Amino acid sequence: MSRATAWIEAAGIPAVGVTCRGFSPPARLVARAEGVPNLRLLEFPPPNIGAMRQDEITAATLERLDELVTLFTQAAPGTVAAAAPASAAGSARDIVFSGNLREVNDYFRGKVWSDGLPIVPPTVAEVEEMLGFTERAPDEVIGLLPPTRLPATVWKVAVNGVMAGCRPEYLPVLLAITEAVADPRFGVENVGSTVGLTPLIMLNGPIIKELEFNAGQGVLRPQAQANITVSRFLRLLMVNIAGYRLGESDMATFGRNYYPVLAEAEDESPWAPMSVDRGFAASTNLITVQSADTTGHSFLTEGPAESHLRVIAREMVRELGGNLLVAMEHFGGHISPVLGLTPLISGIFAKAGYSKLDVKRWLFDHALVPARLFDEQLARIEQGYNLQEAVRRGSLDQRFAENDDPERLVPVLHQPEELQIVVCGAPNRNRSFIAGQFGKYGGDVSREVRLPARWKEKLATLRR
Amino acid sequence: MSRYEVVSPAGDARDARGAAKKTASAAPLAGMNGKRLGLCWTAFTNGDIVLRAFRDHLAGRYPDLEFVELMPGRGLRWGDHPDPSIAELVREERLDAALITAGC
Repeated sequence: MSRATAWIEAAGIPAVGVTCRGFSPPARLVARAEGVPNLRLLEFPPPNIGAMRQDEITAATLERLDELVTLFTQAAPGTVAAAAPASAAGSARDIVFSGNLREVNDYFRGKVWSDGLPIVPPTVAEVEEMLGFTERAPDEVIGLLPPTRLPATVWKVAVNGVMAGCRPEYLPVLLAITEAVADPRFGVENVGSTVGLTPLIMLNGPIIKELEFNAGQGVLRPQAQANITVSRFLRLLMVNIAGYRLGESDMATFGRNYYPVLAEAEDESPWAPMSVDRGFAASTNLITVQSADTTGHSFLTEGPAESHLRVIAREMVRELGGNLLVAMEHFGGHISPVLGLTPLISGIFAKAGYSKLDVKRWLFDHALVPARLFDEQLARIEQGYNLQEAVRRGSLDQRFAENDDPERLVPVLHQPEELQIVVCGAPNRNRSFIAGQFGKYGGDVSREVRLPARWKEKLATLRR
Repeated sequence: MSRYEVVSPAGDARDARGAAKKTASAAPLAGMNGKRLGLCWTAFTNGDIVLRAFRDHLAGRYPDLEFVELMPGRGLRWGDHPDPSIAELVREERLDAALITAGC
């Protein structure tokens, strides 16, 4: 709403945005970044628009009619938008604080420059050591990150990487992640939405071993330095560059902590890695970033291949066949849920003759929900909206409206290839997980990790 | 105890070197009568209900006010997430003002 209102205002046409009370600070922050510091904004009373009855809305709009007319017919109010975080001094290298470890941490927490955990003090020496792992200029702007649209420079990436506890050699991965989230298809501007989406970083390529990422047992536990500090870096990037602060710009209803990087156990997989599914060569060092609404229950399967598949299909329905169906229809026309399979289970499928695509097709054909459940979710977006209407409007294909029987079965994916399979976890366990995804709220974006010249030599020097 | 001299991790608009958007804002309307008002719902539950309620109240007070259902962007439908092309649609529809809602 605030973006659309700002885009129209910037075109010289007065526009009023209607928002729920409590959402004015992020709306003004977004508008300011879009070049409109004084947004015409009308606040709706608590609890929120979505939870109000029609008669309550009729009354609330009538009460606010004079205010609406005033907003259209008077100069935009002079409310100053919340200041974007900015360095106090003129150079990125300026020292902003000096103190011992505790004092530095207290200062950073006070500035809301941290995630609550202690940080590694970003001294110029630490940052410069990390910059030794890229040939890119420190002042290169990788992208402007909404909602503040402040620039993510190579220097600031390194600063936040140091703070997160990353080793200097992780920098090429951090730069690739920053490129991915700066891509408009990721939609950084939605990270602060009430759904509280959390990015999931997936990793492929030889760099997994070179940087000692864990792809095996307990891959999503915080223990391996690379997996957890790289993810922490992304959270700090969201706080310090994108400008997400709870209650001001991050409106997550609950939110959740960052997931450790999900690295693929490529050597244990019977199939080509996920990077190949995404159109890259098998040996590409590739990061993929997207939202992960959950990383789901770690569920058991057993028996022959088809027995595993049946249970996985059922779990897909449980994980993806509820409120996430809204994302499937209403959030950009593409979703990218993740199925995590152990080497044991992927091996059972391969031995039974299933390629990775065969598995995806089987699950697409069998992970089905009654159409009435999908209709229920669509009706929550818009009164009377249903699958028949979604097909008529062209947002879903004909398969979703083959007849008007509410008990007919429809898939929980648009197509089999949307399901991403990552082989990972304890090699001999018969458990899997499914991570739901929220469409263009954290859309899936991949970037190749660009390594500096003499990469292996630099790594060897560090470890000598 | 060691002392640390630290740099800022926060984004700084000055690093953008001109990439940031220029500031702008629109002049207010002289009045509501005879104007073309775009109504745009940009997502989530009940945003459309709020718009229709405002439309009905405004129509009662300003009989000459004309209402236009404004899409949130080119090729989009009411209730979709908006796209910058909404600004072009506003010009093409010769709108004098726009009211934008999102539900929750």
